[in-house]
Amino acid sequence: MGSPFVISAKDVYKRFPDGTLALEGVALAVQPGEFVSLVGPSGCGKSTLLRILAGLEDITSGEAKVEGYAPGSPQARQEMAFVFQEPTLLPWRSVLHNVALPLELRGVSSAQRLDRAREVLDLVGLGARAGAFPGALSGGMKMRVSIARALITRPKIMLMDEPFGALDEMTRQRLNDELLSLKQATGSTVVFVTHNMFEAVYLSQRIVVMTPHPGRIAEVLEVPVAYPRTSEFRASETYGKLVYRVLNVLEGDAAKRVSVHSEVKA
Amino acid sequence: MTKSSPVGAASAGADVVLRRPSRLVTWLRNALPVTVAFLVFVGLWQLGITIFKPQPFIVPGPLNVLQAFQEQGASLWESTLITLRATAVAFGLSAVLGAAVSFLLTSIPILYKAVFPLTVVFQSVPVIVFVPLLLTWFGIGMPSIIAVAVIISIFPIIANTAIGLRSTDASLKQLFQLYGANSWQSLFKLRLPAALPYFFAGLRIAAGASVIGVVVGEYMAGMASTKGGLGFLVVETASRLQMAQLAAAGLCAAILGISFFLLVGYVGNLFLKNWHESAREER
Repeated sequence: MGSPFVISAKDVYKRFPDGTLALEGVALAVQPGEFVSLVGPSGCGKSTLLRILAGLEDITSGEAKVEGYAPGSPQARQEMAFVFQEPTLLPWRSVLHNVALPLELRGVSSAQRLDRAREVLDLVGLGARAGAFPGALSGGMKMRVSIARALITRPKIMLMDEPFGALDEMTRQRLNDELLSLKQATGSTVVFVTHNMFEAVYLSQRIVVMTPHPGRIAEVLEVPVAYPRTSEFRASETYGKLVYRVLNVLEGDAAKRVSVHSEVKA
Repeated sequence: MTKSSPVGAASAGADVVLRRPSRLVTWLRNALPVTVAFLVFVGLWQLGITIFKPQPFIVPGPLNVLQAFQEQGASLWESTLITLRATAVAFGLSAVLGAAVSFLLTSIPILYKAVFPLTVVFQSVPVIVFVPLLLTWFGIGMPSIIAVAVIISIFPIIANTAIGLRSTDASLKQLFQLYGANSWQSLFKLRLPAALPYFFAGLRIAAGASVIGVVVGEYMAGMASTKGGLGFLVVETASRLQMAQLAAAGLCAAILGISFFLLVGYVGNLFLKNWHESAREER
């Protein structure tokens, strides 16, 4: 592979069948091991971009590559895991067999995949709940199971679509810390979609701020703070300034919209 | 099971703060009201009989029915067994055919659009319309009886299972797609298990319906057979104005229907107890 990027997208346009332009000329390049967040309000195309990278959506025009392959190709999928907004567990399977599912679908033997499932469950701190069924778990635990399932294939790339959006604030912060230490341990590249700018700043090395109608990249911010990050980082000036900057970009865009709207009215 | 009615759950949970009531206490609390209501009903019925003294062939009393059970016990039991056998066959056929038809319909979208509305039309035709047809095809006797019961009980299975097979969670489908699942894996590890609660819901309705179907079938198509089921007994006792025996036969059919319904529900819960809301025990 000539490109130093694990993920690259150039001039990506996405128009939905109903005519909405979800993405207009979006470009993105992610380096190996990088943690990148896509942040913005709903309708900014952040999830659409992530789903394009996973091969769950087509591109209208432009180009995207994952590990040098077309998104959705078997080679690209081999290296990648996707974490949905909901835990998306099979309710009729125990936690252990839910986590083992990706290896099962790829034809790995039962003994091997269950061993590996126990390993990743220990990694997310749920080793003791291997026999439980999803219905008996809390929202945070279900999300941990979902992350364990994503980790089981040792993916080089993790695509995460607002995975902590439905959790309470305390659980979300704890899972943020766990995600960062998992990322440190595995060295995966993470592309993380969120509408929460605090979360984006806390987690990422780079923040891609997106604005809606049509979905565009408004600004890209670097977070010049090394891992591991602790709650002290949340109290730091850098953190505050970065959150403020993201907020400014998004509010600026929203204000522009309102003024255009009122001019039209007048 | 049936004890997880919302009313029962609310009343059981409201006044117990510290300790969860034992299973027996919970069961009693749920079973007591209906038992009392039944006894009051039977008591009032007997009271009315004692006061107004109507002829037993106009309104039989509870004691007349009890007497009918004592005197006709053997023939009631025999008829119940015949009905039970026909019900089991009809229910089994409905389950297998219903599952197969709904699978076929949901696997081919154009077929679903074309045929599913027709099944609703078919279901709306009163079953007696089919009886003359069935009699000419199968003759008088068991095959016609079973056919009537299948016609009545197959539609809830088709309708429910079809909904289940069509409502697989979109994110789960994408998950399988992302891990390159082939169509067999998607079918056996996702679509079929996801449809199972719906299939069992259909079976539960069909359990009660198949008993009714067999009795109706016996009533209309089983007249010439020497030994008959409960429907046949209904025809026979009604023609002789033996209303107490008629009521006893009806009671047998009801008990059979309820037992079958509970049995199917119980088996369903064994399958679903770990994961589906419908099978959770109340807390």
